[in-house]
Amino acid sequence: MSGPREPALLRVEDLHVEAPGRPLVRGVGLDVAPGEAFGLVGESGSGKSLTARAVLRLLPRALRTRGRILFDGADVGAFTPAGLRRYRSGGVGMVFQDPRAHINPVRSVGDFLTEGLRTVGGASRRRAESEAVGLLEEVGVDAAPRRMRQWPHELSGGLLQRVMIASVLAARPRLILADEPTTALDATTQEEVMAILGDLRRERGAALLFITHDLDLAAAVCDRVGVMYAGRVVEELPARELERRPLHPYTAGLLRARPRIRGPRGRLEAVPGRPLPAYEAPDGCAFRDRCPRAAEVCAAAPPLRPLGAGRVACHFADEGAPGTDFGEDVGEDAGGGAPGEIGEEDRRG
Amino acid sequence: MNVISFALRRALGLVLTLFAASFLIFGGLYAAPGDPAALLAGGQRPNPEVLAAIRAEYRLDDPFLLQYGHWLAGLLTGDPGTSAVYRTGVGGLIAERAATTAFLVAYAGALIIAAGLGLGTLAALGGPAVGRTLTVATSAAQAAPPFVVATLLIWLFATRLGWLPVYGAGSGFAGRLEHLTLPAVALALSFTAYVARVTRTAVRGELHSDHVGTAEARGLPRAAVVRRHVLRNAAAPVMTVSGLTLAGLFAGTAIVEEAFGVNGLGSLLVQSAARQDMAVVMALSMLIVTAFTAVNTLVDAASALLDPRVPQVR
Amino acid sequence: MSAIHAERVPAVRGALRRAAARDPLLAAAGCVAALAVAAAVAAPLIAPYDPAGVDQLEVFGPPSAAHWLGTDDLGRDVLSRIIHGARPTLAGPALVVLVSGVLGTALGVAAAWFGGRTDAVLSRALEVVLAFPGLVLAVIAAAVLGTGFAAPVVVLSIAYVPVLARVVRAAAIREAHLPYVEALRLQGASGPTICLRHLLPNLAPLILVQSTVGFGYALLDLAAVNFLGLGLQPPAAEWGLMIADGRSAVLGGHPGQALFPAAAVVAVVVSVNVLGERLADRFGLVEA
Repeated sequence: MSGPREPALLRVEDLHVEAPGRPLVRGVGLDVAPGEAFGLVGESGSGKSLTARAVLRLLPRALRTRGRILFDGADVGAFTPAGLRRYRSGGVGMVFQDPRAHINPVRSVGDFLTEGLRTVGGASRRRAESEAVGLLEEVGVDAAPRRMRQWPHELSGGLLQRVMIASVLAARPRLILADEPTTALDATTQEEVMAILGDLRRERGAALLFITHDLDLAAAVCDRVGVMYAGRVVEELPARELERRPLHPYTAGLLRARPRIRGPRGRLEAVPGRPLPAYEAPDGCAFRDRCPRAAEVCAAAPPLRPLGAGRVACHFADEGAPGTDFGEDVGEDAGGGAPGEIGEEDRRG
Repeated sequence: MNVISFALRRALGLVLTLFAASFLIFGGLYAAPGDPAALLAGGQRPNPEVLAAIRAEYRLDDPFLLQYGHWLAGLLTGDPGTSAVYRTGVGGLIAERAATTAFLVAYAGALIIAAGLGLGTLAALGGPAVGRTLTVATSAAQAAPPFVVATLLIWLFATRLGWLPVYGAGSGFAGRLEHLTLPAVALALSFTAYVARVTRTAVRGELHSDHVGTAEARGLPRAAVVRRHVLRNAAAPVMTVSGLTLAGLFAGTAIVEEAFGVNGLGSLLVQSAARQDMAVVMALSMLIVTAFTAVNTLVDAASALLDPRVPQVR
Repeated sequence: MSAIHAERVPAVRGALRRAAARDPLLAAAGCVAALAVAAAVAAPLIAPYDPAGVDQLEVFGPPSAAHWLGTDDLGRDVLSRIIHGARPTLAGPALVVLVSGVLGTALGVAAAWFGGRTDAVLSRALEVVLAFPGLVLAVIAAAVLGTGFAAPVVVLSIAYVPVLARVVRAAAIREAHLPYVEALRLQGASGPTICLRHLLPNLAPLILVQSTVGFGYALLDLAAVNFLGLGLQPPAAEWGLMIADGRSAVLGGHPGQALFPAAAVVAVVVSVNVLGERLADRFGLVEA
């Protein structure tokens, strides 16, 4: 789709997720190449977490899905129960947002780490334990043998998230899904954990699908970034292009809404209006109520079309780079939209 | 090791509670109107000399605290006094009946644990139709007290079915099993329903928890997810409730033993209370309170140990 | 007056019908509870016969147009006895809930408000009471005070205090740490004022739900005491006692005398439990 690239490890085609009467994800398509890091950025309710969960087939039963998800060419939706278990235990691994809730509180850390190795991998207890200790050391957990015997509630959030990362690495997945892995942590821990995740997955050649609301973080960690709005991908760019030449007015607004350390201090801009979930967004271009360039033509939904090094869903995208074009009139009446980051995250995305 | 000090502290609390309870029981029955010597002398109009002899024999003229100390010492040394009705030692009366009641409690307890945990887990893990059916059934069963179920069973089995005896305790293991089946069912039914409901709620709660989502995302086999994460985590709350229920069985035996004419400790307590046979009432009350409190304490301690998050040093 | 009435009744009826359609279980439970209360209040007006009216010619009469639920071993009308029996059967648990509710709330709030030694002493005392199963306490009471209506009601009122006091104490501690209580203190409100005018109204839903659940348990406990012959004595009409009285009739193949009052007990307890659950849902409380 976007130039000659190697065949995708993960391909999401026209994914729809729907609660009864409420569309939540409306036709998401994306490719992640082997070893590539892809960032999926969006506000609460944009559908990014649902997309990640759909990749693992972890959505609640009440939600209906359409579209195809291909992993290494195989249709994830058509997996048998045994095939699905193999896919989850070896193909993809998921780092969840809140390790405190996502690690069983009544089993020891060692148990959590070795469970997959022993149950699925068939490793002996001793081998699984020594492997787990090695992994703990790799993710920067000190006194690893002692940690193995501790309970989850005895570890800090940052340590627990490293344990979660170690448990995912233990399965040697080819694709790692990370759903806001650092949102529940404090700022300094966030950076460390993200660096560990980035380094270790690169060493192992695993691909990464990184779900976040933090555009800067995604651009720093990932090779490519997709921006989601109201259940759709509105833009997809190589990370280094994103900051310089965003194609979509929404992305441009987000970039301007970041606080800056350097340069003159001014008032923070915000994207006007409030973020909308897919089922509340208007027909046509979902962003048009908040868009400074909205016009008649936006009543028709813009297709996601190739442009330059990426793809964009905006009728005006080829009329010059929006990042430099407009701006003075944006954000004066900053009503909604948190500055800097894109609103707080909800777990279901 | 703080587990040991934790256990010691619980044991000490248990002893203190029992001590206070024994004081309440003795004090309450001491304050009863009527002359215990007259009761002990039997129905006839006793002459003063006989009364005086009885007073001396049972130390009825001692001060209250001395009498209490005497009674407590008797309890601890296995001599809880003499029955005014049976005119024999209370210890012997209890010993004759203890096996029957213990059998009944164990039988009912086994039914409650097996059926309650089984049905509750089934209701949580089974389909929505299974869940709904069991919820309705348990709601009705939970409101059916032992005396109602006993009456219903007696009617069914005495006049309609006739498969099982509706009277007496039987002898030998097989005889007891046969005779005590209906009493055990009557005693167990509402408790079973309660345990089943609690189990269902706990298992469903764990089933939808985030950490079970993690286990699924790791591709663990369904059986391992259910056993290692769902059931293991639901165990602590379910055990607390089941244990409290079992403790409640000791009091419930009074009802079903009366209803089914089983000569056990429960019916002895009821009959002794009706005839104001104080020595028996005091000893049996103390026995039931001890069993009830001891089981409660054990369950409390065990479920605290099952959950690593409960701080053991408090 | 009558015009207003004529307009209003269909509206009320419509609202009730809609409510019943939304939650038929709650509607059924409400009906059973209302029927039981009405029977207890207006027993002499409703009951077709004298509950003690013996009729030697009508012993073990089957259900008929004259005697809807038949007659018992003394030829008394079973329906009339159930209707009159509603009085002691419901009044007992109502008293238990009322007395233990007042005592439990007072002790729970006091333990939470004063904390420290008061809390420690109260908690230990409640633990000792908690060591006695309600039924055992009622049996002891029968031995000490003799049989009758009052003794089991009094001791169950005491036996039910600890459970409520503990729940109220926990909730009151949570409530007392909320910022608004701090604000009231800073404004100079006295302890009793805060407890009575602010804490209690906020605890009221919890106490109401607990009392509803407690009513069901108290009804079962009191009926059990009467069933054991340690409470009311024949020929009184009370459901637990009627079941006990009917046992020999059951063995003789005439189950109605015992099973109809048994059905009444179960129906009322199920209704009370449903009402308690719905109240808890309504107030957003988790079932204890």
